Amino acid sequence: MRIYRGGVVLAAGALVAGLAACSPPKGEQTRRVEITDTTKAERRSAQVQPAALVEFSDQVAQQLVEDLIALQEFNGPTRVNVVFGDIVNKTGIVPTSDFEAFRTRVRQKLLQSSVSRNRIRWIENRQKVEDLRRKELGGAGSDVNQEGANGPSPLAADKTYFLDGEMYRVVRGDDAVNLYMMSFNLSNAQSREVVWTNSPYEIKQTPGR
Amino acid sequence: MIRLCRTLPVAFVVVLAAISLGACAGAPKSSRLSVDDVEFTAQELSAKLTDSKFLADRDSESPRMVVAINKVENLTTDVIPEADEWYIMERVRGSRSMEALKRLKNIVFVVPIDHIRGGQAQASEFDRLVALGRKPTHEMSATFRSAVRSSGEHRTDAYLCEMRITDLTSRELVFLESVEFKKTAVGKAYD
Repeated sequence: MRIYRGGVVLAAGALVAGLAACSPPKGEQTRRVEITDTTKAERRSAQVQPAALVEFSDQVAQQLVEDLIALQEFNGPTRVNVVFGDIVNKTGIVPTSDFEAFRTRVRQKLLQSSVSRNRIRWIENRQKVEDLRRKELGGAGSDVNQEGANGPSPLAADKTYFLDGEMYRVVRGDDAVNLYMMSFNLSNAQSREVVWTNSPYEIKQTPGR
Repeated sequence: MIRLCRTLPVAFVVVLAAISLGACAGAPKSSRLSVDDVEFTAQELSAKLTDSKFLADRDSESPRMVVAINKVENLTTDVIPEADEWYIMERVRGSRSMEALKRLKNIVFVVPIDHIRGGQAQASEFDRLVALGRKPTHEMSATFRSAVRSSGEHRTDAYLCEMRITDLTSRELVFLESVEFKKTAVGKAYD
């Protein structure tokens, strides 16, 4: 009889403990994964894989550093200004913010290279700096393109280049095959002449295989 | 019959307990930023700033830098509390001794504008004068971004946190580093 009661108490205890452990239904935290690893969710998604975006941004930075020495425009007595330009996103399913996130990797990689640092000045978005100046310094001289007591010297348009991106997706068979093509180019702010473009990066993805 | 009456409730409770424990085995996983991730990001960024070429190239003779810090800009799909956003920046700023930075690198930090009586909106005339006296030449901030991929019950968030120091006069980025990692998730937390 005592054994029978003990069994019931034990089983009821296990039930209470089990139910307590289950609630509330919060997600357990997982460990961090390397950015270059491809996860199950990424393999099964039709969107371009983040690992491909990492590889692409590394490739752009590498290629630009290699080509900089040969580019006449980038080998003058003064450094040229480079600003982030537009991203043409014709993928249909990948948010532009994804490309923007990985575009910052290109800038970061280039800032780490002495070849690039000696030739390029990375310039922050005008609106962003104007907002910052307004916030930090008040109204006076807050327009960064106006020369004045507190204002900076404006950027020389002929010495300024935009880093623009183009992303395309060719799709067949209800997302069965997705071919992504991505490239970056540098164009002069004054003439809009394209002075450099990377070899387009292509990746074909077949989600779920 | 008596024996059956005795064993039946026990068996019932045992089966229920087994089911409840079994349900827990497949608990959903979350890809949201944890405290550990925020701490990791701050540690990595401060290490990168300490080892940076930007700091190595400076000495006591370099032009004076007055740096104002701002909280992290959140462009992820996560809700990052304001305290976490400040924590990361303050942790990076605190990675080097203020005195050493001032003496050896000619860099000083000023009180963030948001900390002067909660920013411009609630600031008095005196606060505004104090704020104007700061005269920062550079701004240090960071942006957290994420890219999400999901399929069925699987989800992955790729996080990128970029920290930069911007010259407020020339708009030039003088320092830029980032931390990247992914978090994976399985299942739905609301199931």
